[in-house]
Amino acid sequence: MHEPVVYVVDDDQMVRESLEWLLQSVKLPVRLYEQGMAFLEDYTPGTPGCVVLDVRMPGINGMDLHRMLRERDPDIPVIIVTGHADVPMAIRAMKNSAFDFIEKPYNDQHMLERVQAAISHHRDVQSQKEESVLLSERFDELTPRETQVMQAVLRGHANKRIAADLGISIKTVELHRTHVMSKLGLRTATELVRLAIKAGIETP
Amino acid sequence: MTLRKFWSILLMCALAPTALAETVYIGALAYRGADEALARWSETAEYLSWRIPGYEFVIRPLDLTSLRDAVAAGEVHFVLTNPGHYVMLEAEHGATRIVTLQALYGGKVYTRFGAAILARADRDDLKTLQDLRGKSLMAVAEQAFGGFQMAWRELAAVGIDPFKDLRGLRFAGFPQDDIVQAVLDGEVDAGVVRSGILERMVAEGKVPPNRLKVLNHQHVAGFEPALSTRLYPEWPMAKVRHTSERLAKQVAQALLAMPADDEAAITSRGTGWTIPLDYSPVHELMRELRIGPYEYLGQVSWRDVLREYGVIVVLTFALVLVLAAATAWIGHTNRRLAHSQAQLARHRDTLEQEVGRRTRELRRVNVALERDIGARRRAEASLHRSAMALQRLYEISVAPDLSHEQKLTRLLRLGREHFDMESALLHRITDTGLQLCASDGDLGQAKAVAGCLPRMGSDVGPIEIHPPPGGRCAHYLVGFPVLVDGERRCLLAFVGHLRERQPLEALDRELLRLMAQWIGAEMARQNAEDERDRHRAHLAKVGRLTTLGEMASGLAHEINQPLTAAANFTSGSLRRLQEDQPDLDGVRTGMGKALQGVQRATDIIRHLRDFVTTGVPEREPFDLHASVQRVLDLVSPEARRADVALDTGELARGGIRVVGDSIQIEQVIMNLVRNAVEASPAGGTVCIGSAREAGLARLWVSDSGGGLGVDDEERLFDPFYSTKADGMGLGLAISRNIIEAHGGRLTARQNNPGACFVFEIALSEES
Repeated sequence: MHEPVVYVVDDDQMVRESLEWLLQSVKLPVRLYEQGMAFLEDYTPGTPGCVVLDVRMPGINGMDLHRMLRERDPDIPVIIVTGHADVPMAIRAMKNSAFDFIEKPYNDQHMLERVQAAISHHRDVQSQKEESVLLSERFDELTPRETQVMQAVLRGHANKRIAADLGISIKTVELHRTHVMSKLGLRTATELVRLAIKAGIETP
Repeated sequence: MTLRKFWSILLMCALAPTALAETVYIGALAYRGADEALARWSETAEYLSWRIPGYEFVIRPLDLTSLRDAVAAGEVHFVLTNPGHYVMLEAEHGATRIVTLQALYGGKVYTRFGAAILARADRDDLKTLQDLRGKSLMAVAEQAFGGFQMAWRELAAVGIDPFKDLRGLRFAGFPQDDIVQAVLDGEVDAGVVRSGILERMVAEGKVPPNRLKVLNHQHVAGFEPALSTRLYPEWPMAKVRHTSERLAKQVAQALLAMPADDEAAITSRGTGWTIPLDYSPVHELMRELRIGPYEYLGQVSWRDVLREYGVIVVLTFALVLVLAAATAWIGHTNRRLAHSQAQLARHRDTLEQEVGRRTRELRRVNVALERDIGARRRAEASLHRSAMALQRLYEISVAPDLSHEQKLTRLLRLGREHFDMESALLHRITDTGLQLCASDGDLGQAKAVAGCLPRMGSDVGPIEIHPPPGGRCAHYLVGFPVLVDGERRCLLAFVGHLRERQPLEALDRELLRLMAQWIGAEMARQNAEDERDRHRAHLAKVGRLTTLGEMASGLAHEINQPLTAAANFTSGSLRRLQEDQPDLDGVRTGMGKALQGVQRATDIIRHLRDFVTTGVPEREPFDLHASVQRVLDLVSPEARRADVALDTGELARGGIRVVGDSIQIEQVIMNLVRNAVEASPAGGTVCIGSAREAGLARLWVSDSGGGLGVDDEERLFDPFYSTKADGMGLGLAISRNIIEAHGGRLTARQNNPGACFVFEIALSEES
């Protein structure tokens, strides 16, 4: 796994450098960008970390850059910084799923906390995604009939109903259930439901 | 009705409403009755009415006596009568013939007529007039001219008095045909008729030819009818005395122009009218017969002599009397003459004395007059000078190009020259005393008269001080207080050396008052303008504050940036210090950067303060080029480092004096030059130029850099707008504010290559 990076986009050199100075003091790698386009060109989706954007910039402003970034990588958290915030701007930012909206001048502690929170959030999101991929691979081991039975179980149907729906005997249903549970390493139906949700399996 | 009658009535009807015709009466002798007379003459009256517009002629038929009375009473204007009667009217009432009738009988025209004394051809006893003695005679009337009087004259000529020597004289009246008939019938021995009657009766067959003979038959060439008498002129038309000559002339002309075949001519038994004939034969007849006007000749008496020769007698007598009186008077006059000569001598002596006295008087008057003329000439010259001064005052006050100060200076000079003074001073009256605010001429006098002036402070009218030599103030001084908005604010004074001077004349005092009034008005106007300028500056300040409000968000951003940076650097540094082995060099760098941020914020705030407090600039005249030089001195090291040349070749020759706050203007120049230097590439040139134009000084700074870099030049002047990496965007905004506060403007334009910034401010009025 890569080390998380904080991407700072601000047209003001001094502000840019000071943020770098602050973030480096907590051992966070920082990459500085003067313009939004330069950042977009340089950024590889999926890279862990977070983005700190200034709203007021020449060329592409912070809000536009945020929107464009979301299209390429919806997961990376974006912290929007503004010198003069107004409510409509904040609402817009949050609707665009900004991680946070910070007003200048800000408390350096707060900024660091939010950046770290964003990074850990990103990390969580990314690990969750990886886990569900692994889980869905385990579900893939089930036979079609076993999958049918499992889906009926997830819907909360009793064995008698499942047998009637599928046109098989209750005994056969019980046998399939046992195979499903043993393949997924589960004991109860409750565990099955939890695992299915984690793996992102749709319950029809 | 004849055609003319018709027309004349028509004409009268037409004229009636506009012009009422004047009635002219023609008295016509009606020897055969009124009807006959009207029948004979009415057409003539019509004819005249027609020919002479504005008059209506009316025939008044009258007998001999009535006609005479009518003429006497002025009741008729014209008279138509027989020659005998006419002569009477002429003699008695001044009637004047104007035309004579051309009679027609026997187909021939005659202007004269006579009478025929007829007897039966078979009366052999009647051969001559003498034969009539003792015979009976019939005539028309005693007054009838042709019907009796003509024959009477002939009878008288042969010694027969018809009233005494005849057996009988009968007057038969008209018609005369009866007389002819009576002779034919043998009623009378002879008869008298007008010539032509017999021939007419023969022609009419009333009398057989050759039955009658003519006594005393006269043969006149061209006169055919039987005739016993001399010929006399025919009937005249006469005007009476009161009738105007003009009307008479018109009537005469009209009648003379009457055609022979005219209705009027025919009815008048003639062929019209001719020029008036000689009526003296008629007079002779009357004189001989002693009738009519000559009736008095009947009895010759003393009275007659007196009447005939009275004038001569009286004149002769008077002459004798006058001669006697003259003789007596000459004697008396001689005596008086001697007396008068003596008196005259006395008068002459008196007169000579009087003349001498009057001459001396006149000389005195002349001297006084010359003095008056001199005074008047001087007054005229003074009037002329005042008029000239007023003219100049007027010209100065309306001169469109002159400033307040220039006008004031010229006015002071005008007054100084007019009053022939060495200096003109205008003092402001303050609480602490007088303060000189304008002057012309010798300024040294201002101090010299300073002691005298306070004394004038309380006056409100013209002031004239002509102190005796040796006094505190050895100057001649005239002045007038200046009222501004009704208050005594200034003192206008003209000061000159003491010398022979005329006291101020009324006109000069008036001029002085006008000048003071003008200055007062001008000052009031200036005050109002100053007030307006202050108000404008205030508005500009309010405008700036508004701009400040609008740019609050930008301001927040601008100040937040360095503050944020400073906080970050500080915080980052602190965290580094908390490490076990802090990187002190790094921390030092961070702290240095933090300090930069703080300074940047400080700079912004200071500039901002400058921007907001750019108030009313000082207004002092200064040399723009000197300011440029000071700026260049400061900027040239920086320019050298950047390898940018500073070119002042475009600066105008000589100095350019402008009015304003030199420090502020230098700030602007500095700003522009530094911008230009920063924008210029290495090896580039910054040009500074200047020019004077229409009361304005223009200064420009151009560079060879990348140009304005914006589409809208005006954006450059927005606060916090900058195209420079580390620019704060306040320089140009502040510069523009300064220039605008000076009443000028600052603009930018693309200069290919590079940019050019130009500002204009007012030239000093002294330049």
